[in-house]
Amino acid sequence: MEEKQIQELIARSRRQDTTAFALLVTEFQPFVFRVAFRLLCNEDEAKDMTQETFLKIWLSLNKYNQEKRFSTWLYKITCNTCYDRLRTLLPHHKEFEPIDTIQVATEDNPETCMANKQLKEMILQYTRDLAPQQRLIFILRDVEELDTAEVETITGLSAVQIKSTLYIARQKIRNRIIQSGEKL
Amino acid sequence: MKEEDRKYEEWLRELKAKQPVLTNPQQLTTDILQRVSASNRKSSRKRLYSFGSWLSGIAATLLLCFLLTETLSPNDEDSGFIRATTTTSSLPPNWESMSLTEKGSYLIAYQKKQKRQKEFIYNSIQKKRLNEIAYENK
Repeated sequence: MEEKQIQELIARSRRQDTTAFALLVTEFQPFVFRVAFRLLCNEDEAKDMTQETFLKIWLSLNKYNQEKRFSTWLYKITCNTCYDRLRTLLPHHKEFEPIDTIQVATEDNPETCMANKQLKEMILQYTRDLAPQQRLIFILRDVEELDTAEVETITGLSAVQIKSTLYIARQKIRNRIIQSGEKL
Repeated sequence: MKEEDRKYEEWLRELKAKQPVLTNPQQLTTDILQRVSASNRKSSRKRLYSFGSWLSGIAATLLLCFLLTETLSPNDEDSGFIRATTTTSSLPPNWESMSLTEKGSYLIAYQKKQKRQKEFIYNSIQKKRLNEIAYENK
């Protein structure tokens, strides 16, 4: 969907047009879910956060500055929502439950369920030690491949803070890789 | 390139290539839209509630102002009495158009008249008392 079409849908949604908003949801739902999953490594949590994010978007559509890209604003709300959730989850290490102990949800498609589990395992394999902020910066910069300026807008952190956080995150991941190599 | 760097790059490449799969996206869309419409209902109820409280606030302020006015300002009877006492102070009808000297001479004359009236009342009371005493002595 082009930016012009998106802006039109936003303008209609601002006038309480739920049909236009439904189109926005359909278009950006996979995007929000992807970011949420990569941050939280849990399908159910990612779905909840997707819902939460779109509700926040609906309630704050009037605050959106149309001069900026919609995707940046979407990233910002998604990351803020997931970051808050990540911070509440981290002390209990809920999101870092070993894969085997997680009960298989009543999924219609076991292949999908398995794919998500594998992805979760892959992310957690080396990012287990990362603090919420480090995880967020790492996902945005290295996995989502956003530039520093956009990450600055999304997180509200300075370029220096982003670079240093990313450096520490990469360092921790490399240490994990070394540790796992030693174990083998 | 170090072994861990190579592994890191490989792992990252694989991570970027793999996307999480959203099962039952229609259900998620429906859930989101349901929450949105629920929030709409909630916000309209909230708006109605805030309008109601705004109205009652205004009504309360007006009532308070009315009560204050009633308490602080003199009532009609009092103001009528004040008006009567001020108007019966026998000021001439052309008081406004009178010059200062005329006003001054009028007030002096009025004061003398009042003094005479007071003296007359005083003398009459005294005379009455004397009569009473003389009557008692008889």
